[in-house]
Amino acid sequence: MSLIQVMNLVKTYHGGGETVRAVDGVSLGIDIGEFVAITGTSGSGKSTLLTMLGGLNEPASGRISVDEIDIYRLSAEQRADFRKEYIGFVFQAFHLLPYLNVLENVMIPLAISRLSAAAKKEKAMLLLEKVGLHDKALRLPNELSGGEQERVAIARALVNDPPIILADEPTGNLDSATSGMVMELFSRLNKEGQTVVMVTHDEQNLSYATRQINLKDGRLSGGCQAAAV
Amino acid sequence: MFFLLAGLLIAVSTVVLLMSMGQTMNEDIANKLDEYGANILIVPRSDELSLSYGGMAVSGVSFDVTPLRQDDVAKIREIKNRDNIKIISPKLLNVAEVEQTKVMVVGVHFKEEISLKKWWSIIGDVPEKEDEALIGVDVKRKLQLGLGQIVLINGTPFRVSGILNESGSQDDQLVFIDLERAQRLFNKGSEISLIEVAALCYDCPIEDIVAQTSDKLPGARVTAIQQTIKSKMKSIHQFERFSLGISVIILFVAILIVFTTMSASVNERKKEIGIFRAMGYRQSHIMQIILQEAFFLSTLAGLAGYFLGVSVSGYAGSWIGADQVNVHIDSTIMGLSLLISVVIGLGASFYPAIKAARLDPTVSLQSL
Repeated sequence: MSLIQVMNLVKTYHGGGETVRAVDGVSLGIDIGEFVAITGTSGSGKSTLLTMLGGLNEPASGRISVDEIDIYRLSAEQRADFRKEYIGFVFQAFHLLPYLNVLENVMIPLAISRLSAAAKKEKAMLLLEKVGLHDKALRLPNELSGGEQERVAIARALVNDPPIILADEPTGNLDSATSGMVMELFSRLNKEGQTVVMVTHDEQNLSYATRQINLKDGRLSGGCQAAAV
Repeated sequence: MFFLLAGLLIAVSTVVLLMSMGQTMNEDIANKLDEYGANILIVPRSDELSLSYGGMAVSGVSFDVTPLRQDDVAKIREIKNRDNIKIISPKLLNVAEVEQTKVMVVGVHFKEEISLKKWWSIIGDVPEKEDEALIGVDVKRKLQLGLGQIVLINGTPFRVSGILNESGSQDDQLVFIDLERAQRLFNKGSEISLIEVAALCYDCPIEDIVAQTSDKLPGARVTAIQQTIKSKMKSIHQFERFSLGISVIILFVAILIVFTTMSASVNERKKEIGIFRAMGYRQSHIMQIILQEAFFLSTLAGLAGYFLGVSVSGYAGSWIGADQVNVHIDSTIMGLSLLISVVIGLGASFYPAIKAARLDPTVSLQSL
């Protein structure tokens, strides 16, 4: 049984008197420990699919099960708890809160956990050490480079120990050298057992993925290819 | 958030300022109350009795009534609200023959009488000995008396130690002598005709003091002379009502400011809310964040507003002409300021907080 099971997923948007099928009958499965790259042209529905996998975007029809939980049969609050437990999001533009320092940004997901303040801090520091930024814990985001900010965002996504990382164009705002470093980090995490699902435009990033899923007009295109790492 | 803080701060400080000014005016009235003279008059109970004194009718002492006695003065000191009583001035009124002319002679305790009638202006000295008298300016003119002169009252000699300057009141036509001396002179024993009382009653109903005194002196008629301060108190009550009206309007404006600021803040923070929601924050967590911020800011604004209001009221008190402005920390008003600020802060933030919590995470993330 796959960790993530997607069954005949459809997402429609209405606008200008027209109905657009952003995701159109997608079915797929993602196993534990896979590194899946979702590719496709702009508007192909890859980011929509990613947010739907993360329990943020309710489908028009179809079903998504994560760890055998049908996530869209959960209430909104239960789905929030699901995200806290299962999903770590990494966004293209990092989306760190500018008024919090690096450590505090990493601790954001822990603010709603029952851990003690000391345990939260210790956990966040461990993650910063893992991404090589423990010496910059007290810096503000604007004092960091783009690659460093992305690594903070990855540490933040990992801090709740989620089994799945969903990354939306994680290297979209980085130069190629920095992109390589970030992708190395994702690859290392994946080798440690982390399941990673990443939306990307970048051909270079595909070499880090164990599988590529291509979307065209909301549909799977060309089957699911396995890529050599 | 600056506007929220500033709006609440200005609103709370204005309300505190208006409340403090009202209180200052009341305290000022209390401090000046003795300048308005007596506000309670005690006379023997009788339907027939009609006295004319100090602008009130006092005439022909009746015979079928139980007269007031010196002991009654002590009884007034025993009432529940005795701390509110500032001056008790017993008097004996009697018509006497002074230099072949009928004159109203009043026996008083000069110490109390002088305290009660701050407006008196005396040429010479206040009588200190039993055989000294203070005469009204009309008596002086009519009988052509002068300072230090000996005058016969019912045949007993008294030295004129002081002359009252024209006061425009009936006092101008009276002769004042010591109360005990008057009682002996007119063979009245310990009898007194009336008692004037000055009570500090800005914060208690004068009717209570009247009722308590009536209970202690069942044979007396106790009347509140309220007209002396009534008009001033009426002005204060008008100011208080006006302040209340202004306060309500200001607080309503504060509600609108908080509501608009929090709504704008929620709109500006869609991205932040989207990130929180993506990380597993529940709707209730988002509400909690917004309301906690509102609580913190409104508490800060409440405290700062209170202290600002109190500071400004010190200057405002002098500006409105209060002689004594007591700028002090009143825990009740401070608590009330905090309560008003927090209730407005939380109440007006509640809808924006619900709106924030119900934001569709995908819509929020679209702004990422």
